[in-house]
Amino acid sequence: MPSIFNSETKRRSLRNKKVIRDRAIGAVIWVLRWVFILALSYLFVYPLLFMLSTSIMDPSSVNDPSVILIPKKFSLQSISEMVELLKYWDSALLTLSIAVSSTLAALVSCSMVGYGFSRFDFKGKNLLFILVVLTIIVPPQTILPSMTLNFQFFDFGGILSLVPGAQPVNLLNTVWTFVLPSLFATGLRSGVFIFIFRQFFLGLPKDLEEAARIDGCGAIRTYVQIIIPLAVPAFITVTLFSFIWHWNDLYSSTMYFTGDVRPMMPTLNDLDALLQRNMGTSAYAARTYKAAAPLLTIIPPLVLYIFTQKYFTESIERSGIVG
Amino acid sequence: MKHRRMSLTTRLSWTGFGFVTPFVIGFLFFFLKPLWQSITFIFNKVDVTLEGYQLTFTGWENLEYVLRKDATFSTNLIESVTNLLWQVPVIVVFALFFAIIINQKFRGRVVVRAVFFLPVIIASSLVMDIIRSDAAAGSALAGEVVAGGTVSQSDALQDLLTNSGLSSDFIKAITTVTDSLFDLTWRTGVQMIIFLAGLQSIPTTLYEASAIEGATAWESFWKITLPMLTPIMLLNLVYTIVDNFTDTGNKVMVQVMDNNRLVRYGWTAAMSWIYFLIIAVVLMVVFFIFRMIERNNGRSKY
Repeated sequence: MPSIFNSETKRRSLRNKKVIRDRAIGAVIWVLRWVFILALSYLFVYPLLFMLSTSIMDPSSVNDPSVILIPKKFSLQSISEMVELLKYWDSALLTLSIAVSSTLAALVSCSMVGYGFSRFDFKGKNLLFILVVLTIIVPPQTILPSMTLNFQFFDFGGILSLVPGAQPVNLLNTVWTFVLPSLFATGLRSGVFIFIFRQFFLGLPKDLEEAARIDGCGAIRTYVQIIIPLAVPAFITVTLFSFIWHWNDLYSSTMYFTGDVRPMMPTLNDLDALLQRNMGTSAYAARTYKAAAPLLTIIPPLVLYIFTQKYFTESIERSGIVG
Repeated sequence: MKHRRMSLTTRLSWTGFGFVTPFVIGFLFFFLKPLWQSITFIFNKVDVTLEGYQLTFTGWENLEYVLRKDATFSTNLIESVTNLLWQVPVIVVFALFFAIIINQKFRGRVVVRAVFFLPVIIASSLVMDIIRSDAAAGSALAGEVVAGGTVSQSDALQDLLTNSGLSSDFIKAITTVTDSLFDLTWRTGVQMIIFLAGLQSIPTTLYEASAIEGATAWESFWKITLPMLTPIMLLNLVYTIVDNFTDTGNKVMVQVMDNNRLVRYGWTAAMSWIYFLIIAVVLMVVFFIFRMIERNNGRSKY
């Protein structure tokens, strides 16, 4: 049966050809992938390296064209001057207290609300969830003026006016401006956090809670003892997002904090004016200052990221943010 | 028996409502109330005193000022909306592309991911503005110094295009895009994460089945990945639109904030409401398009 034999060899050679072709395609894809990865990594890492190198340069080597990234003379002068000018430690402490306290508040409130939306049926649930989406979509700038006025003359939602002779409290320049809304799941991007938690809880099996309920465990105890331990990835994701968004917030911080020490981003926003006022026009153009200032402001979130990075990437894989 | 089951459902529904109560309170006091106030600000003059603030009714004056008399608002508005319309698709496509790259399994993936998530951490366009001007100055010094001045890449590109005889509007459009590529790449962080999570929620069995049937990677991208990502695409589009128009680099928002700092709340209320309504229309169009796509796909996940 020669014809069959013939077709057999033909098929084998075809298969070999296919293997070779697949390998070639694989190699091309490998090369392309790494070209893209390296190009993009360059795009993401270079500005940071550049900022770092410029800020530790001696001012004399900034305009030296032969200096590329590695300064000939190191100097921490620019950084220490910026620490002073930006009132860095005070400002960082303030921003840190805002970010930590409102993140804690948001974790408690948004996880509860997300749990409520994902596990229970009640009248008006869909309407309420549409309202959550509405808080995401309406820009904070729209309500910021009235929020500022309400905080400046804070009367606890009208309760204070029932007490005769009581004066409204000024909450501006305190962390309450951020913590109070977060505590009621309507703080900075709280809607997004509610969404993340809801999606995560939707993906958890219901069996555990049902078993707990049959055993007579109350809803709050079930939530604290069974649900929260299971939801660690979602909690890590929200913690990192919330910390970073609070740290990087410009609008609300600008409006709520008008004192001497202000949060990081409003301070950085006024960098040009600060430089001009305190160090004269020559300093205004100094590139070492303009590299050192933003570097200082991104160090805390960067450190947080480096420590939580592993959990963060894992938690994204497991949290199934989008269900 | 029946009575007990009823009471369980009712009890559960009350428990559920209990869990969302914080949001209901917050929505009333920290969203609905200020939202209503900001609408009233449009038609009033707001005077802040030591004891409180006073409203003086002015009718359409604020709106008229913002739209007719303010020299920059209308141009800023048009520019912001045009930017939004082309930047949002670019950001979303970039984010999808990056997510697909880092979703693949290869050696060194952990490090690459850590690097690709950097934009999420430095998500402040304020820092980005400073970095960008800094890096531009740096690369000019690092060796692209041409006699008498510096040449940016887009200048060279512009020369090339002008010489090839294209219309100047077209050239301007191209150089705008290339100029902002750096910026747009840096704004893909959160969207990339959302896509990554979405990619990982697609069951691998679908890809295996299609590979057995002889589908190429290209085909399975269009037939499996994209349709499965449609809901996430919508989520990302909405996120990008919202993020884009509240961005600190956005000219309308800069103007709003500048006026806010000068306590011109009537004007800022008018400005931000006009802007928001335009964006709301854009969002509705996006929702509508996705509703159509979903219907064509024959699925109704969202």
